[in-house]
This record gives sequence, C-alpha cells and structure tokens, in this order.
Amino acid sequence: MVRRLILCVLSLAAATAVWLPCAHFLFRPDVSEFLDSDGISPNARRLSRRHVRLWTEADLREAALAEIRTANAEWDFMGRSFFVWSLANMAMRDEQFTPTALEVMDAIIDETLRLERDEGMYFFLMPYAKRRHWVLSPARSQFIDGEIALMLAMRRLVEEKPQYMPLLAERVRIMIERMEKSPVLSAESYPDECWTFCNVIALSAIRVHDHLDGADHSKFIRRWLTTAKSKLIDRRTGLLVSSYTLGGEHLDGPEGSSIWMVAHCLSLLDEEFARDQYKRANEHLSRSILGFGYAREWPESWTGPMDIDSGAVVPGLGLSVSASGMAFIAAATFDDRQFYRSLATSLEFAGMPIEDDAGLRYATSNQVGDAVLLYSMSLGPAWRKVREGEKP
Amino acid sequence: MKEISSKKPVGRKRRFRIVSPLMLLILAVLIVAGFAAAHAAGWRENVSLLAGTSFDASNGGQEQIASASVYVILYFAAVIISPILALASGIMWSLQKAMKRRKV
Repeated sequence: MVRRLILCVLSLAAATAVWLPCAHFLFRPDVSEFLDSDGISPNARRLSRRHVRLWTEADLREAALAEIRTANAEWDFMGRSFFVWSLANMAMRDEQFTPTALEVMDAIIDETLRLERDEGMYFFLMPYAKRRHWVLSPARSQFIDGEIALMLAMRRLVEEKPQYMPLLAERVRIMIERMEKSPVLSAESYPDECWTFCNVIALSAIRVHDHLDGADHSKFIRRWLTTAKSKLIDRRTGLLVSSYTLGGEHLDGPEGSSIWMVAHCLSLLDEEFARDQYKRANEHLSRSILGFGYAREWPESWTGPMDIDSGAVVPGLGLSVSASGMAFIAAATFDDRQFYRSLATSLEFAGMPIEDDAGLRYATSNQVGDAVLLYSMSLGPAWRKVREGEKP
Repeated sequence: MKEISSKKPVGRKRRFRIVSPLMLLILAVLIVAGFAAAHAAGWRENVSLLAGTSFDASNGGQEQIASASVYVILYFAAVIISPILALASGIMWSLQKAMKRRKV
C-alpha cells in the first residue's frame, strides 16, 4: 500500500509537471481572431453583435442596463462609452458597418445625454459622490464630461452631425475652464478626487475636437503633460499615479485598471511619453504564469486596496480582472501582439466564452468588460485619423 | 512468468484498490462527466452572476449562484485536474508495469 501511495504521488507530480506548462496551448488563440490590421476582426464582429442587439431592442436593453446598474452605475456609463468608441473605430474599418454603427452610437449618446439632463450626473456616479464636498463649484464630474465629450467627438469623427458640434464645443470649454482652476490642470471626477484616467480621456476629446473644429488647445495639452510629468509621477516606478486631490496631492499610486487606458490616450497626445508609460507599466504590472498573461492592479512597490475599479484581486499574484481587461487596450495600441496573445489565452481559459445566435460574450465578464475588450479589438483608426489630420 | 500467474488464486475476484491507475482514470472521467453535465444543463450562462451583476434572490437567484459556483469548480477541475489525473494514471500504470518486469 505504501509503495503504491508513493508511486501515485510521484505519478501525480510528474503529470502536474507535464500538464501545467502545456495547458495554455489548449486555450492559446490566433491573434488574428482578435486583431485585424485593416478590417473588423471575427471576434469583434461576434462580440459587437450582442451589444448592437441590446441597443436596437428595447426589452433587451432595459433588462441588461437594470442588471448592471444594480451592481454599479459607473459600469453602465463606461459600458456605453467604450461601446460608442468601439463602434466609431469599427465604422472606420468597414464602411458597410457605418450605418449600423451610427444608428447605435446616436441612440446611446442621445439616451445618455437625456439621462444626464433628467436625472443629473449622480445617476452615473457611485453613491459616495454625494457624501463629500466638491471643491469646484458648481459640482461636475470630469468622468462624465470627458467620456461624453469623447463619445460626441468619436461619433463626429465617423460622420459629421451638426447637432453634436455645439454640445462638444461647450463640454470642451467647461472642462478646460475647470482644469485651469487646479494647479495640476485637472478637474474632479469625484469630490476632491481627480483621476488621471478621466483627465487624459478629457484631453483626448479636446484633441479630437481641435481636429474636427479647427480649434487649437495644443498649448494647454502641452502644459498638462509638463505638469503631469513633474507632479503626477510615482517616484518608485516612474508611472503616473491614478488619483490625486484637486491640489495635486497623490491619493492612489499607479493602478493597473487606470494606467493601460492612460497610455492608450497618451498615444494621441504625446507618443514618446505614452511609450515610456507603456514600457514601465509592462515592467511593473504585466505578468505571465505558464503562458497565461495577466496584469496586476498595483506594482509590487505599492499596497493598495481592492475596490470597485480593481475588481477581485487574486492574493499573492496581485492579478486584477479589471487591470487585465484594460491591458488588452494598451497591448493593442502599442501592437504588442505577444502580450495581447498571452492575455487572450487567459481570456479564453478563464473568460468562459459563450457563443450563440446573439453573438459572443464572456461568462465571467459583464457588459463593461465586453465593451472594453471590443474596444481593444477595434481601436486604431480614430487616433490614426486625428494624427494624420484626415477630416470625416 | 507462467509460475507467477499460476500462484494467483483461481476464481477469486481482483481486489479493489483505491490507489491505482484505474481509480485515477475513473476520477478524471467522473470530473469530465460532471462538467459535461453541468455544461449541458446550461449552467455556464449563470456564471455571469458571479461577474458582479445582480441576481434576483426571490426568483431562483440563490440556486443560480450555486449552480454557477459548481460550474466554475467543475470547469477548472475538468481543464486542470482531470488531465493531470489521466496523465498520472498512465504514468503510474507504466511504472507498475516496469517494476513488475524488473521483479520477473
């Protein structure tokens, strides 16, 4: 019996040593299923099909939004933003998809603007937004302003819509006016809480607005970048911190669920700085175990909390689902196909894809997670169009 | 060889062994079968409930959460543990064979 037990343990150990390094081959996808240099990738088509249905069939939409809002109102809002930005890029990749994309983008934008007008900005914010004191008056959230501005700008980048011109111009004016009131040129997303994530999205919207309407905020953008490089950098990693007070006092350090999107937006504003941030984020936050890639929420030099942004963080590994999702965006932006593939391997393994007539979705993801993934599969044409000065 | 086999008691059933290649293989197959059953029952759909979206406790939500949790456990067991058990079964069988041959 003892001999058999020893044999069994040895066999299990040998089998584990053989299987674990090989398991990722079962799930490793062909990156071309996710990324296509010209058209829309097969997975992007499949993933978008379900979301397009959500926005064209009222019953489905109401059920889905009610479900996600109960968990987190921010997710409802971010799901909308990332989906609109994805549709804009997809429309630029495939002209045949443009009419569908425009119809859905307009439906989302109009409904989001209506909700903001009727229910107020708190409709899309977490409850603590009401519990503290906003420094700038009147209270506004850069999170809401920046993402709505970028939705309007991306829509107009595909095809001009005159009704959205004054809406974008007004939102840009308000954002800049408020950012100018802070020594770090940033506006609050929550009371006395500025987020690099929200401010670079706002700056991207300003940059697209300049391109569309012939305005010039390049000096302001340069000032923001100079300020950020001197005042918003974490000394240990060289990465931008994720949140800070209106006065510029650091709150949270570099965060995986922020920095990857920040690097993506920076690629439109300052390519060199963006590459530097991506390189550093890779060094401090990206990891791979046995062929499965993931991103940490916090660098090893920083201990941060597990919150709604990070999602669940696996102890010991520091693996964050949100950070890993956002890492897809940066990997696609910087054409880091090796990292993208290792992340996609983890997605195919732990995401548990479900494909049916309605399209593709990931069982362990949700509406905002799927929208972020879709954005990673479609991004590129919008930023390229602005950089090359090509009008809609 | 003939001598050894002739020593086996004739007509007696083989003894059931918990620690054996066959048991490892049976365990691997059971896990895969359990996962296949959960998958066929459509429990993967319920896993979304674990991704932070809400559920209606009054409308079978608790059962859905339970089925989603069972599905996740069976899924990871089927893709990680089951192949290890199957491989270990093969390795153990080969080792036992080799040891028997050496004895002979």
